[in-house]
Amino acid sequence: MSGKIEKVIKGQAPSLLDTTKANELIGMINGILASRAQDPLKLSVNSDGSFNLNIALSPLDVTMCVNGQPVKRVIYVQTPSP
Amino acid sequence: MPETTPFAALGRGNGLASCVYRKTFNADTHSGLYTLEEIMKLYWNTSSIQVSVTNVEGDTVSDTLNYTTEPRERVCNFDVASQPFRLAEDDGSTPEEDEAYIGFDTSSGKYFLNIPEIIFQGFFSDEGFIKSGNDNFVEGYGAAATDSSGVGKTWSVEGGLGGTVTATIAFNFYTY
Repeated sequence: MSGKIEKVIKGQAPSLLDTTKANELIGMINGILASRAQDPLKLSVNSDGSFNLNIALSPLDVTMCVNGQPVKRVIYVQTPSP
Repeated sequence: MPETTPFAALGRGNGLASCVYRKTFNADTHSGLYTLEEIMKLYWNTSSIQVSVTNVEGDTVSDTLNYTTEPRERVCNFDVASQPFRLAEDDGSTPEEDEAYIGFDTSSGKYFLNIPEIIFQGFFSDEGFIKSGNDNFVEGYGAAATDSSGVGKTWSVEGGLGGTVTATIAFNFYTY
């Protein structure tokens, strides 16, 4: 996977009514595509051109103080590199 | 020693459940100096404090303060009766010396505790007081406590009625 997806321009093909929302989505995808190997988001390309998105995060049980009470929550942390 | 369940806590991101304030350590009124590991052990893992006081007549009184709040529950930093160090609320202001707080001494790079009082049962069921620091009783009735635990440092104790000549204090900790 290389390059980036060009943003659409209102009034030009492809015709999308909500270009603002579409550009938000495209910007988000481009951010994912630009993520580096050490980032939690990892992309790999399949032979058919499709790609896999792996989120390298691990669940961690933590105790937090919520509304004055200690409660258990699960947060996701980046998996350390081997 | 009581055993407890291992846990992970984010706290304030500094290893503790409250902010730490940059102040200058004073051995007369503060307890320390502690490494981060030691101050974390005191805050999170103290299960009991044993205190013993001898007065001018040679009488001795002892008390054990048990702290039943499980270490993982101390993320909330409340309830002075069941955990030893209920610290001043993080309201954005720097706590005064009559409030309990954890300080950071920048010159030494170490931590200290400011604890105005921990109450125990002293002579003749009178209230006895544990305070941080070697010399924290203005009337001179208290004494610097010899710490046998090796972690709790610079505390002073006053046993209630009568003058206090010597005192010992020992911290016990939860194990995992």
